Amino acid sequence: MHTILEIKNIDVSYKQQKVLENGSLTLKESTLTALLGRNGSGKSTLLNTISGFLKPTKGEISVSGVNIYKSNPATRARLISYLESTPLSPQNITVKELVAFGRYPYLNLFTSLSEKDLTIINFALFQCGLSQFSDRLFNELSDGEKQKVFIARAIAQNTPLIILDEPTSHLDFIARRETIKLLKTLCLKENKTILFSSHEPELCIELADRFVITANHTFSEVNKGEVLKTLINSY
Amino acid sequence: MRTSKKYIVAGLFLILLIVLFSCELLLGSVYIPAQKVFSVLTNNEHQNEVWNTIILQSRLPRALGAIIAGASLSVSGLLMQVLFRNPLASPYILGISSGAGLGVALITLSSASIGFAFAPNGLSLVASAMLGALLVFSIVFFISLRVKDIMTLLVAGVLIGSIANAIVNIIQLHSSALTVKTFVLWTLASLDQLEMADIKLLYIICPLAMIGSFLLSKQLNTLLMGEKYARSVGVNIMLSRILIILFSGILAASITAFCGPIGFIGIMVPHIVRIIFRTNHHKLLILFSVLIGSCTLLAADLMAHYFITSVSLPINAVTALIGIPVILWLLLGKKDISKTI
Repeated sequence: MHTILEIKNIDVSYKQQKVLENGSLTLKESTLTALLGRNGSGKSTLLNTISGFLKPTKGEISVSGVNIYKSNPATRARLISYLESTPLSPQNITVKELVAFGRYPYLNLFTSLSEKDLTIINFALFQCGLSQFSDRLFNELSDGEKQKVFIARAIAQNTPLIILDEPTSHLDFIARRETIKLLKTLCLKENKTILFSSHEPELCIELADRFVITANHTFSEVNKGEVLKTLINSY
Repeated sequence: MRTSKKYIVAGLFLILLIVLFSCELLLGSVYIPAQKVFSVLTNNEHQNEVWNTIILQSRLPRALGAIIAGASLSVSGLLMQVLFRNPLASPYILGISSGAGLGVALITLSSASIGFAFAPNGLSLVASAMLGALLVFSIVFFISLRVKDIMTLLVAGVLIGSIANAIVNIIQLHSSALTVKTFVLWTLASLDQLEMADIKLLYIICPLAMIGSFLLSKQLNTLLMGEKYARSVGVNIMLSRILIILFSGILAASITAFCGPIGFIGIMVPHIVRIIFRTNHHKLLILFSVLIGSCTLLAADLMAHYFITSVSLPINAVTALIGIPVILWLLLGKKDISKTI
């Protein structure tokens, strides 16, 4: 299996304060990885750094062999899709139009969608079980459905790596499971590499393949059996 | 609304635009028959010099001015509303009208009080308004290069506008009643003083800025999902922001310099467009803003002149008195204003 994400000894500072030190991580294709840790332990900082928003002060990050801090934003947008923890939800926009945003890194100035783009968008909608929602207005959907639309947008972006910052934080019990299960399906069927942060270790232990914990100014991978113990010790 | 239906509605507005434009040319205190108006426009008739003058130097520049000013202010307001994600953002939110006002205040008010042997005329008013607008605009523009957070820029724009207003107040207090009136008249805005030379200039500058804005549709669309998302799909946020401010500023500054600070159009029209067309694709929003902005200002100018036959009304009063009930009615019928962006 190919290596998708490779983080080598990175240091990350935020507002002149060191948040993460000397962290490394390698993720292969088709893996669902959960990022756990306390509030303020650096989960979002790590995800922002991998997504290209925050430059590490030391070390290297590459996605599919491309050093993301030496490539331009357009290249990066074809390697990583990123979903914020509280994304803005615009008005007057249909589900399909919102998923079409995922195609932006591939479109010209006039944003006209080609047949190929439309096929990819429809496939992304289908993957997320949204085919019958495609002409509905985005803002009339429930939070759980909205989250699926955002995930479909990430699929339409067609990147090997998908990063999600707390994708389940506003959802009910059932929708949380459904969201993580959907991510799991994407890893298995579409060979995506998905990294998401979460505050629900039980759900993650049940569904994720690998586990990374942020604590004591660094991050490291732990085995499934040690997740809870490590988390409790870090608290 | 389906795409085909959108274009039908747009077609109806295009017809309305032609009707309103014709009204501007046909109506007036001097009656000129329609076919004579047409032949003057097509250069077939030169016998009646008075008619020529009325049409070519008064009615035509006013009509063309209303179209370009309405379109420019609407696009400018649309750009500001997206940039700041604020439904109340207007073309003047970054202080451009205050800057223009400062320029005009300096030339009209101080020329008299310092005993400057110089009577403000049309050209000097335009030049001073333009200089004032550009001064404030460049300050805000340079701030925009330095600040990361867009809301900081919004606050900075409002503050700099307030400084300009403060200086205007100081000058006003120490000016004669007559010069204060000249200044107040400028703040009421008008299309009557436009000449064909002004129109030519506006029809070169403004369409360029509108085309520039149109080419930014992609960036504007992604900004709806937030700056962070826009960055994640490869949009260069700093460059987009600079271009948005530049185009919006050029549109607002050039119209304000020639016509004065025409109010409400820039806030109102983008909302009307969103409510009628129910889209958030900026390729369409910009096109429809141009169309509906032109219609709105033409209608407002017609009302300013002919609503009460013997008296003309200030255009800002008309845009407020007629425009605001219209937008309230549209909003009450649909949803609240924050939900249209």
